[in-house]
Amino acid sequence: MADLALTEPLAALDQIELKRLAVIAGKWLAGRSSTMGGGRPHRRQPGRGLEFFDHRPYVAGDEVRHVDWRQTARRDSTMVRRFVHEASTDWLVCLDCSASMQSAMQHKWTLGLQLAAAISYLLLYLGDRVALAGFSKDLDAVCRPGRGAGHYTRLLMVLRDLSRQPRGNASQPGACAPLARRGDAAIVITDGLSEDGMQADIALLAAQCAHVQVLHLEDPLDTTLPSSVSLRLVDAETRRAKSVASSPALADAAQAAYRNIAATLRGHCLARDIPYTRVNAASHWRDALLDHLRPSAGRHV
Amino acid sequence: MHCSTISVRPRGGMFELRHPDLLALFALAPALWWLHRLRDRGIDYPVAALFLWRTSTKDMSQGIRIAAADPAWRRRVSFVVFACLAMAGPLYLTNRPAVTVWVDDSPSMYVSESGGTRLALAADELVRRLGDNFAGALTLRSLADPAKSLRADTADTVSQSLRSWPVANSPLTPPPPALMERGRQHWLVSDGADRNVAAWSSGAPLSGIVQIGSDQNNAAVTAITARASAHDTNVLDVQIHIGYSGTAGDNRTLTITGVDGPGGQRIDLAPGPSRVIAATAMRGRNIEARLDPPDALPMDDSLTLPGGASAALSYRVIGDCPAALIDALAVIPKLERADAADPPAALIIACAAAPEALPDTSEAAMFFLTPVSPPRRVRNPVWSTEAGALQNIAIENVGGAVIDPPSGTAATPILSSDRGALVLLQRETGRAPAVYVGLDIADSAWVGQPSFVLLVARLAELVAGQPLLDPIDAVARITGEEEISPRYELRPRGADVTPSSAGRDIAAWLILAALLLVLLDLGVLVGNARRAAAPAAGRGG
Repeated sequence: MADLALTEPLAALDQIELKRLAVIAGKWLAGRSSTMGGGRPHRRQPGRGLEFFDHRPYVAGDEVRHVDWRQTARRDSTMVRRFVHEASTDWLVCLDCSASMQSAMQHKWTLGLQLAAAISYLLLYLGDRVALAGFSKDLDAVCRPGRGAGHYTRLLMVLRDLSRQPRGNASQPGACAPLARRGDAAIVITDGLSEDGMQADIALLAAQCAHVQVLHLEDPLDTTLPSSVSLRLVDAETRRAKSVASSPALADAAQAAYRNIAATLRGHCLARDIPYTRVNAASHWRDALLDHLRPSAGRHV
Repeated sequence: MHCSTISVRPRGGMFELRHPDLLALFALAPALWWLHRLRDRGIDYPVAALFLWRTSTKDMSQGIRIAAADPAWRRRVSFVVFACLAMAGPLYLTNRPAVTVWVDDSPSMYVSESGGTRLALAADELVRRLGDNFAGALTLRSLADPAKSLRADTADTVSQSLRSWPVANSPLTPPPPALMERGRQHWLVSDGADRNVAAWSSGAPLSGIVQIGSDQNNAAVTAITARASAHDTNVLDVQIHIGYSGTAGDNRTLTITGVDGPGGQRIDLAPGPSRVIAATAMRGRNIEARLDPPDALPMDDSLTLPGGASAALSYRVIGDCPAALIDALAVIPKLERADAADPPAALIIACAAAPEALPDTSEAAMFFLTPVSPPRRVRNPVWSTEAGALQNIAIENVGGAVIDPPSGTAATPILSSDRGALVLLQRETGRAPAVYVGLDIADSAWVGQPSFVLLVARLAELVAGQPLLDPIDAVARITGEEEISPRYELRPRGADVTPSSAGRDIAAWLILAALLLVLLDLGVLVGNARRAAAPAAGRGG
């Protein structure tokens, strides 16, 4: 981490705050099913695996090969080794890299990058393996699954490179589906700006993964116009253009259309028990993350 | 300019353009569209998703009405199209062309021919000749007053309108051919007795002419003039002018009332210059001259000169005025002294040493301010433009004193020297005019000269508002009015306006449509400016 030169917005992530947040999240999520809303799966726990977890007294039924003779001699009681549960969930963090994420004041893109990094940190801290995929129409960037502090650094480097690249021309989270294995979980961070409300792509991802969550970033600037009378609106993704006369009615219609699309996405998630959180793009990443993780908060906001 | 025409025949009528070459200006339309295409791009504004911005009703599902991008180019191209069409001279041709009938309403048209007056006969002939071409859109216009028009909807209306058409009391003034409305048939109803009408008809775009009239003999009292006799200002020398338009000799009995001597006399009339009959009459009497027996045009057989026009104007002298002034007033022919206060005189003459001593009168007045001390000689007196005929009177070597306008009145100097005003004219609304004279009328060397008498007379004319020295009272008919002989043969030019090409000019409607588009465009521009100026509260930008 110390060698990685980060620029904004990733530089705004405070490592200490992230760690504190991870502790809080761990307490909130302890014992909850990974399929419950907002959460990551279980925190790191003993099980079958190779990585040493801790020692405990021997009980009948324990395998003799797991007895730690040195500790037994030291404590004068039979102690066995336990290992980190190797079957904990692999997570795929899917970040929308389409050009629409970078429109207006780039609030969505800033928050998306920060949330992707923070969620990755959280999951890694809790012992899970995390992969990252930047998607637009296709996969723009991929970071293979891994765990530990070193993997977080790799994730940050991928996110940093993503922040420098031009954006894609569509929002299709289904492009991440080939990366997911059965039993994996996925978190989709997107602005949801797709004419069909991303129903097909979310369904594709849900079919591939055991669990999917959606963080919907919304920016009010997406449905406002300057007061200039004559404007030529240019789609950030397709570059198609349309001349309009700016008016309050036009903005009202755009907001209505946006609400319609958001409702479609939310309804689709509700129907499939997919945790869904709508986040204002101007929010702080910590608030947005807590909002998503908080057990008491409704997931389908 | 030679112009071909093109015609389009829709159901029920036909459109025709007189200047189809101007349709080439339609080329401006694509250029305008291209210019607006550049302009209407507006400011490029990136948005996250274009599909959110719905601008057509097809996109609408929320019941919100959206204004699409301002299609200003459509309005302006429409304006160009309408303007080009209007300039191309569009005509809507129907089977019933619009007709304008120019009516010669000079007195000769009221000559009684066999069967009626010329105008009545012309009405029947006009209806007959228009026949099936007669349209609902027929307009009758006076040649004496082209602005006067009467719309006739049926043949009966045309006939009745012409029969009751009033005689013109002014010379005929036919419209310039260039100003005659295009797209209409123009017809002329005349007898050919007027030279101006004959000249006009040869150059005007007339489709048809109805010329009626055959009688030639007409005697008329064309004028009566009266002038004060040089021997007796109470007697008028009268002249009666008799005009005759016949081709052979004739005679009439002339009866003159209001004159001295025998009232009736037999006069022989011969073609040529008018005859003048002299008589004398007392001032103030009505003088009427009548020719008997009546001829084909009885309306010009008699004429009357009112006696009031020649009546003398009474004046009253107030104050101690010099004898020279009294004498000067007495020789003015149309002034008559009246010393009694009742009835009030039309003109007051007052003399006083100071303005405060002058009488207050509501009649026209001449105030002479007689200086107490010997006045100084005025130097280089100058008449103002308001002095009128007084400017011809030289004021030289005359004494006088500068006078000030009476308090509370607005009097302007009409004679001034280098020291100030010598004669003031007071002319205010609601009050009779008055003059204030500061010249020394007691100067025996000056008042004995003709210029003094002339000065007094012109000053009296100025305040009386009418000529007093040598007035000629007259009443006269329009020159040549007695001429009824249809001596000019009228022929329509008939070159480029024929019934088949006549139609209704619809350029005015196209211009109106173009103006409405301009107003609409202005309204949109103002609305846009207001919207742009309004604060976009709660919205980005």
